[in-house]
Amino acid sequence: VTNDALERELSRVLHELPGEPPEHPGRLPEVRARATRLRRQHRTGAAVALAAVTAVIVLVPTLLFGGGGSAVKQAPVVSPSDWPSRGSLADDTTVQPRAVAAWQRALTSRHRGRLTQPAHLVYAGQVPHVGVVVVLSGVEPRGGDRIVIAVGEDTHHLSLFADEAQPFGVSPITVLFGAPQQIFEGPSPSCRTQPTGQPASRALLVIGPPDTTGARWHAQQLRTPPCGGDVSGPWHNLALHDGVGATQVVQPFGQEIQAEVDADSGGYTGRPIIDGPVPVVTLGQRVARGVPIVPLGSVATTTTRTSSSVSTRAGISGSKSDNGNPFGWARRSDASNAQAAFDPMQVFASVSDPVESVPIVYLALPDGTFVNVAAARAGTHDEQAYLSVTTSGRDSVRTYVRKSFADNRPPYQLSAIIQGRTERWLFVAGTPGIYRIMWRPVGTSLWRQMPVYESTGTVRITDAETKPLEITLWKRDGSVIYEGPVDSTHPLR
Amino acid sequence: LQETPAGFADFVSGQSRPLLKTAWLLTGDWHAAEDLLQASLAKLFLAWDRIERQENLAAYVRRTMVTTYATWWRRRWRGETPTEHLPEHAQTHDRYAEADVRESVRIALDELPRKQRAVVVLRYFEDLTEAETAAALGCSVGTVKTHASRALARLRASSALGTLVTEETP
Repeated sequence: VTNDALERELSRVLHELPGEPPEHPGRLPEVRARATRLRRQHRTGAAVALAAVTAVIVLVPTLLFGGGGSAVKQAPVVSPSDWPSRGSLADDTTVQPRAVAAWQRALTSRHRGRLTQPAHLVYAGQVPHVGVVVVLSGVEPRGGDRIVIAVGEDTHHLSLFADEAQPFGVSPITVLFGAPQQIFEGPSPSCRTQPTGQPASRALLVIGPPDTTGARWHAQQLRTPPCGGDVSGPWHNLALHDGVGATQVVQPFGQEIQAEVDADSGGYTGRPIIDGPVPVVTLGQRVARGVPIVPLGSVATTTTRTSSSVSTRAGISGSKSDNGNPFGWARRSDASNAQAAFDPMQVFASVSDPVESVPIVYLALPDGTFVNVAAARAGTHDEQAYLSVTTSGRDSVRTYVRKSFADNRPPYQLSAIIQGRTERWLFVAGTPGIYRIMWRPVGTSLWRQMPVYESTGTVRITDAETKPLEITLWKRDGSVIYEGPVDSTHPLR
Repeated sequence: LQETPAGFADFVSGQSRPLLKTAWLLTGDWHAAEDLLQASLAKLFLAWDRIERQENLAAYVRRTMVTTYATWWRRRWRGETPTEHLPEHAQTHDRYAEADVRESVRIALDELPRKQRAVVVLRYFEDLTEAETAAALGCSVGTVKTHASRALARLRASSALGTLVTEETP
């Protein structure tokens, strides 16, 4: 193809290309209004007018969340990572690295990446009928704060028993060893067909803060028995030494064990028990899916806050938000417990008008910082996209990025520099289909790739990286969806 | 606000359609094109008393559009610059199934850097000479030649337009 031929065809096609422009009868008055604003800006020396789609970083005064009746209540913080190492094997310096190695092997088998943060040894000791038990508290790159339990005949042969998200705030660790019992989740059986089975003898390990002295447990049937009768068992006390205790429990068929720590003193109550093996599971894909774009009012599950309450309700679309949301992005999450720990409504704690919000992205950064992306509408405002972070249960949201939906079109990306718990990050959440995300400081020529998970990229940036950053988002076929600056150049904290 | 000069209203009425097409070729989106056109017309409105006697007001607006377009690109808080619509959204029809010449060229244009795109639009849509294009862009003729040459090379290499030209050229 010669240049002449290309130029001829290009000229012909370009003249046909735009087609007929849409009519816009209000153009002249709109131009006059723009001219007025422009003149005012010239006179006042104001900044240039913002474009239709804008992203702003908002500083939320801490006062907004202090003691407000409608603010989300924060749990007191005593994390297992702050506890001293306990157990008869806690002084064995080989135990912790062997348990970490067992954890890493399990993560590697499920493509969950490499551990980058040191793990804290919570407990290492012998548990009757189980063997050596090692409990770790650590941060997983795609899982946030974790409680990890490794077991073995001895310290040389440890394997992963459980890997669970560690909620923010205080949480005694209660573990049931052995095969979990069948718990009825389906339709209630009739009296005639109610299944029967043998009770199981299982080992229960309870680890609380060092100053706790007692715990109790009992068996309970969660559902109302179809033929009546109270099938909840009596409470049994368990003495704790240095905050740790173990015992054998009898679990009737079809019932679950509940345990509480220091319940009589009004202190800590039970957390969801780690019942039986909790294996490491495979997470999401590199490329995120899309879902139908559905306005907030008809989203399947939204959180609505009024001045006095926060509630979650099922909408007309069904029970799963992946039936649609204002973004058209399928929900993205990892192994973290961010969904339970962080409520985007914190952002609106000071807003008296009703708020609707639907979460889209719940992810942990490799240092354990949680990132949340949500679509929300406050009062009479239009739907907007919010990106916010939280580093621990003791901190409320202080800054966030807010982005408008232009022409009711969801954003192509939300991005921010984040000052996390221990590191500084560039975080980019791209629209479904994004396969590759690249970044570079403005003014430099070298694009650098960042790891992508569910069309979302995270990369650590150094403190020396002070220039504004720009990003490009690519689809698998090599086409560029977005090229431009990061939404927030001031770090979210 | 001052009264709208009669000549200005006539100009908007008569020239908006072709100028909007130019804006669309620069932005690839009718909403953004309307935004760009209005921003440029607003600047014309403020300068009307000074330049209304100029022979080629359309050229003035065209030059304003190009520079405004470049300014928006440089501005950091301008928001998003989507360069392609995604087909993955479940509720939408398959855009690629409806791909035609218009879509192919639009994609090819989207792949161009902004300066090169502006040169292509001014040279091959507005049919400006290299000197006129250089004046509109505020650069030298040599720079225009360089941008045009690189743009044509990229368009030729583009799978979308390359196929089109190969098919339609005898």
